[in-house]
Amino acid sequence: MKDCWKRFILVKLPITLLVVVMVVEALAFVLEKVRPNRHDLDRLAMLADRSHATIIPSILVFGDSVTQDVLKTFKIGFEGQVANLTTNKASGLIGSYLLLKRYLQNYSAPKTVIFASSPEFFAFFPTGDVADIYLKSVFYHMDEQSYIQNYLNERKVSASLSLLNLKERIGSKIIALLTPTPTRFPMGQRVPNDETATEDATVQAVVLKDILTRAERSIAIPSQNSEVFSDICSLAKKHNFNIHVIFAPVPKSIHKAWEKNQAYASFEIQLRELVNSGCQNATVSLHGILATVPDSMMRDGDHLVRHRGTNFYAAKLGEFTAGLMSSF
Amino acid sequence: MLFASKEFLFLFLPLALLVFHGARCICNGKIAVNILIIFSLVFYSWWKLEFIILLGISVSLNYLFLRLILISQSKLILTAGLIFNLGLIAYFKYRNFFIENIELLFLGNFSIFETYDTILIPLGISFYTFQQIAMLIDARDGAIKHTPPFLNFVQFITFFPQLIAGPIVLYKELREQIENLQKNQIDGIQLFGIGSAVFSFGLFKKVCLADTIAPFADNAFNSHQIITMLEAWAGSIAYSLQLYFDFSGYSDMAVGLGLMFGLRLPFNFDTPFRARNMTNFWKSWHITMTRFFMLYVYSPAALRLGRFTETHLKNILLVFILTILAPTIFTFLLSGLWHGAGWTFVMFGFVNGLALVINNAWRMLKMPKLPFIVSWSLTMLSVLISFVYFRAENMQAAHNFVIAMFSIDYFFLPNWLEIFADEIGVSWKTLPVLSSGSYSIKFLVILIIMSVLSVTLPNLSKNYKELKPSWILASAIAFMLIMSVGLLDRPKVFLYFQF
Repeated sequence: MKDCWKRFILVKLPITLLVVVMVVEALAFVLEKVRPNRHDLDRLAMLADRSHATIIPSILVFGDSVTQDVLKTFKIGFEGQVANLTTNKASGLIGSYLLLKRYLQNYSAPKTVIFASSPEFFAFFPTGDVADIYLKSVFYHMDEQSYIQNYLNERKVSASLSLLNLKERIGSKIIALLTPTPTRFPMGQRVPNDETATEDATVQAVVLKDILTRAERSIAIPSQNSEVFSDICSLAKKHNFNIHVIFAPVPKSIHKAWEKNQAYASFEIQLRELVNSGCQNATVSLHGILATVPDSMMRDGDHLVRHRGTNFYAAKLGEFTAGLMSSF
Repeated sequence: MLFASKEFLFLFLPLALLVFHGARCICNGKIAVNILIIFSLVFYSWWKLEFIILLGISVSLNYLFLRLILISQSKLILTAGLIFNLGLIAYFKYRNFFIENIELLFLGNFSIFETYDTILIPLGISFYTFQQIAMLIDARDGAIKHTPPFLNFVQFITFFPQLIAGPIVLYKELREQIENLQKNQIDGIQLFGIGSAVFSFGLFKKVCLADTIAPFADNAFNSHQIITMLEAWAGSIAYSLQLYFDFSGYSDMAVGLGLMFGLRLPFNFDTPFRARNMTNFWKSWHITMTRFFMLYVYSPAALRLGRFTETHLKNILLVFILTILAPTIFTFLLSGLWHGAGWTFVMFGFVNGLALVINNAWRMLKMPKLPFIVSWSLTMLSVLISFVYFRAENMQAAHNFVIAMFSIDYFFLPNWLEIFADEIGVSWKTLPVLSSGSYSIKFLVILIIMSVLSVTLPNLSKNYKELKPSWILASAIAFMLIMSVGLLDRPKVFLYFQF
């Protein structure tokens, strides 16, 4: 028995370990070219990489989850006229830039690009694990990687052995293979009605707390985002489209807090300076916050209640895009 | 240093194994055991160097108490030893809890202490203190006859696989084994092979199973203020599975490591989610802790109360209260408090104690035996409720959770099922946890897989003797190790939920 175990430790176990390691590495090698399909941004990046369009959209909408929440449910504009490229705050403005750049490499340029988000989208720049999941592993083209590298100097040593990063190198790739590949930019089918924002419900304490926490968050625009926005403007000039920046409805308490601490006023000044200095050759229109809504229309500090709040925002967004369409 | 960490797996463990077995082969067993003590102390001090002093004081004084008890058989010395050990644990683990509650009770919001010192709880204090308490009581009761050599005592207490999270080992279980180890009379290679299988299995349970379901449970408990019925149930089941795979995985790792160093530690879990009543559940969940409380708290209390009722009481209800209810509730309140200094832990103990009392009453009243599915469901229901208290940050959070689990007012379907909900006339809304269809399906699939695994996975810590050195075992170990190492560094929270 002792000899059996000796052979087990010295021969069987090392051999099987080696075989399993080799199988893992071989599998990772085979799956190397498979792009992960973990979140909405992965799917948008996949779509932007190759054109499926039969109708060329004239309007692209970028933004964070506040707008994404709306556009996944509600239909804005006529079929194919508006493409929804909203992501979430995690990928930041830099993610939108890279997505737009990739889109323009494969599709015809739109007439207008709308940035519809919360102001915080302009104040956030992804770093660390967030940047790994929402930037570095999504935008893998050489030019995209070097662009990201300009802003993220965190030199995280990437494990050369796939077995040290099974989730990314094998797990998410297998899931991607099992998941259907998207064929069109996501857009909801529900048509928004013209219900107005009324104060008819009490606010849950936890939501109110979340709103107040949001009011304390800084909305100063970091220098990286100023540079990224300048690059977006360069794309606008090169591809001859104009840019509109609007902000999603904010709850009353946030509006009050921002009025009190002058946070939004400073943010607007910063944004104007950024447009004046970095976007001289592009047409950029700043429209400010679309509306102030009762706190009861929020489901947390940032997002609107489905569907009462989201319907309200969708209707406003619909009016806005319709206005732009009529000017084409 | 945690077992499921790179520094342990790639640095500490290989080095400790190499030096220990090297010393055993080249020098002798005694030197190997002494080396193992040094490695155990390094392991312990990795977290905070200063607590090694506390461990040193605790071990030295307990050794002194042990010697004095064995010499004099004095009850007074045993009492002094117990006061010392309980005082130590009370100071480090329960001081702030007691102060807060005394202030709250007698002074309202007024605080006599301007600021509390945030005391770091020394790692494993509950475990090594309990092992020493058990040893002192066993010495007084005659279960230990001779004072062990000091280094054997130190090896017994500080043996790193069981030092910080158990199992709670009794001296009689390790005495002979340590002596054999010193004499180099162990089947090192066989135990090493078996140990590596048990360890890999534990690591797999911890890293691949517990850490996979943990973020789902965290999301549910973090949303307790707005949680709905479906989410509360999913969250409580997820947490129960997380706790089971985490702790039983850790215990398996401890047993596996013990075997790799030539010592057989007792197993701590025996597929508890198969239990059809609370008595069976506690016979298979954290077995060594239950054993400690049964031997050193419940039995003496029940025995004394039993003797008293035998001579003084005739009323059956009073007899039941004094011989079953009181010692059970008392023991479980203490065991709850042992898990942590907070009312949620006390409540955890109370729920379990109450369920056990009902279980015992049912048996004593000779009530009909329930069908398996009914008794199993009732048992798991009690366990789930108690684990909600175990996990919740405070009593209010736990109450919110339990209310959401049982109140129909909290039943909503998620908004992504609104068409179906409208069709069947059920309310729907945006749920905080099951907010998207893809997340909910992922959550459900993981819950189902883990639930099945929790009752079907073999118990290697218990049945390791049946392991054969086959290619299948080698492949299983290789697979589990590679999977665990490959998933070691993944983020423990869902990043998306920050946005």
